[in-house]
Amino acid sequence: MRIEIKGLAKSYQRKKVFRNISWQLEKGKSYVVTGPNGSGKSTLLRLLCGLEKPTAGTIAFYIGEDIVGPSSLRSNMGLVSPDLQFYGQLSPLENLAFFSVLRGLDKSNDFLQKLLAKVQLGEEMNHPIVTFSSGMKQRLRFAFALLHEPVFLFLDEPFTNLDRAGKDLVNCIIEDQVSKGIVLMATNEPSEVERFGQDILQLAPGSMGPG
Amino acid sequence: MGRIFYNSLRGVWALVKKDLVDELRTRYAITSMGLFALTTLVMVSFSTGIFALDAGLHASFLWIIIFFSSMSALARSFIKEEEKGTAAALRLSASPEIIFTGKLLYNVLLLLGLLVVVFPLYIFLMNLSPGSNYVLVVAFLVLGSVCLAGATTILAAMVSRAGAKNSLLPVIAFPVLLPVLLTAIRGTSIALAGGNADSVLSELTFLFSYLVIIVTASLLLFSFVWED
Amino acid sequence: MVFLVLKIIIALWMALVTIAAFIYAPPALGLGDLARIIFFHVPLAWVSVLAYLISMIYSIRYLKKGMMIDDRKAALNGEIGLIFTVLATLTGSIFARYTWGMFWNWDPRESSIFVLLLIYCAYFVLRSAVEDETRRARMASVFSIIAFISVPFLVFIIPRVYATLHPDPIISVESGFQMDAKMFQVFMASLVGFTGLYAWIANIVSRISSVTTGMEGEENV
Repeated sequence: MRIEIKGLAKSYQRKKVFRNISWQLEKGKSYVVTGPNGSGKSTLLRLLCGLEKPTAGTIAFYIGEDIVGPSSLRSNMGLVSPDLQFYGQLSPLENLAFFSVLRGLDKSNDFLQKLLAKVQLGEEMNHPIVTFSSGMKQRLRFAFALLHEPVFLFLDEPFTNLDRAGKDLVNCIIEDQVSKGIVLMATNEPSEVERFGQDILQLAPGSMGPG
Repeated sequence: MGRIFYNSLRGVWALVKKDLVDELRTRYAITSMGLFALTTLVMVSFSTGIFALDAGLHASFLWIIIFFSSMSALARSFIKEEEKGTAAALRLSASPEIIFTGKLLYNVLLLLGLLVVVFPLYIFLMNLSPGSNYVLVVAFLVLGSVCLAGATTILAAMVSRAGAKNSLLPVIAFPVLLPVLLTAIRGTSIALAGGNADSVLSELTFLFSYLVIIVTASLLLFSFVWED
Repeated sequence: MVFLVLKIIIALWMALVTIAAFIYAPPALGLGDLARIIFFHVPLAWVSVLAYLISMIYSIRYLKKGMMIDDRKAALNGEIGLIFTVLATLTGSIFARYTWGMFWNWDPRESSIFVLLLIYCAYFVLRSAVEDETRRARMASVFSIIAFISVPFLVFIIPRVYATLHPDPIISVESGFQMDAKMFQVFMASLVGFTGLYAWIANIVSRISSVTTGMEGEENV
């Protein structure tokens, strides 16, 4: 299981975010992207998730030695990002139930409730999420990302808005996911992920990545 | 293969259900559409109440009311996902085809809901003559509305990607919808005048083939609009 | 060099067509000197449609290959087409005013050119509403195709709804309006001339656009 990034570049209009990033990510390891605001951390994650298309270069996902096509990538990849929002009028349970059917999964109500309990939203699972604090929304993002049990997990600022307990929870999730596949984190605060950063990519504005 | 198809259908239905539940809890589209329809209808009724209108004028008024009151609600179907930031979660969860089909069905239901309100009110306020072929009128209203939703769904997605400019939709939808509107008005007017199905067969087949072609094209092109 | 010769040929050709339209071609039976407008009106309408077609072909190519140059060409062919459409509409309504008494009366052909005008306008309204360059290109291309699909339906439905007064575009035996040999020569020459003129304008505009975008510092990544 690995991800191969080759000669990746992204520019908006004619402004370059970064160019020529090549990187190889392997199973059982965690990776960290850091850099100042505007250096393209989130953009890199969005490119990996297929939410945007690169200006140049390629990203290839492998499970075993088989390349993962764009349609099955959706079911093998999870994203936590501050940009992700859910339906405010629906409860966390309804949101998760909706996304699991949309994904074509057959998750029991029990599974969803356990997942919500895992991210410590068990008490509030029937309240509409408009009433949620930012920390609770961040927890829900983790539940959404883990819903389909992905092997590639991308975390954009995973610790945002989380309290002590929340941070411990995220640490647990990351450790657990590393054993199952690949975890890539983007953060401004490298100290938070020190214990995971087995390989760190430093981005600078308009940067030419390593190699 | 069958399994994938079945799961896709479930996904489509989940999207429709989610939109309906969300809509029933906020009632944003329903109220804006209903009030718009009501005010235009009352205006038409006020200003033409003293005249005896022929079937052609009735059909035109009906379709003008339907077209304009449906536009903002149809635009909402995608704009709300972009505005609330939920579009990314949808993109991560399902293929563009599932999303398109779900939104299309939801839009069709929305328009049928509009018809249920507008048509009885129109009959009531405008004193439509009893001599009309009402089965056929309803057939045209339904088929025309489905065409309207069919052609507008992809355009609504475009508008949502253009910085969510609500008022843009009628402008770009009008030239595309013109064949539907003209045909629907013509068919409705013949039906209102008491014509039978034989006299409007070509209009019905026309609307049907338009629907098939525009929906197929939209399905093929939707991923260019939906994904970056 | 070849371009220069072509340009001189187009210029002379158009001058000759213009002169011939007024002097060489005889006035048409029934319509008199008014009919001379067809030497300009019909080619303008033809180029309006041709420009849209070419613009749409570039749009399809953009969706297939993703090269920004194709989108730029689609847009500028659309711009030229819009101008030709406006001119065709104006010349048509002048003709309408002096033959049927009104500038505008929703004749099928007037309606068709009007819809084309609307489609062009909607295309540019959409373009101006999207900020991101590649997204704008994709939206505009898809719109161009969707709008094009509705055109054959219009061609079918409009004559059913409105009766026509318009002379047949290609002169047929049954119609009251017949072109004689001299008129036909000028007419065909004018069609060729306007098509050449369109190609010339498209060439100039595309060169200007490649120069200006080059100055904005476009560079391959």
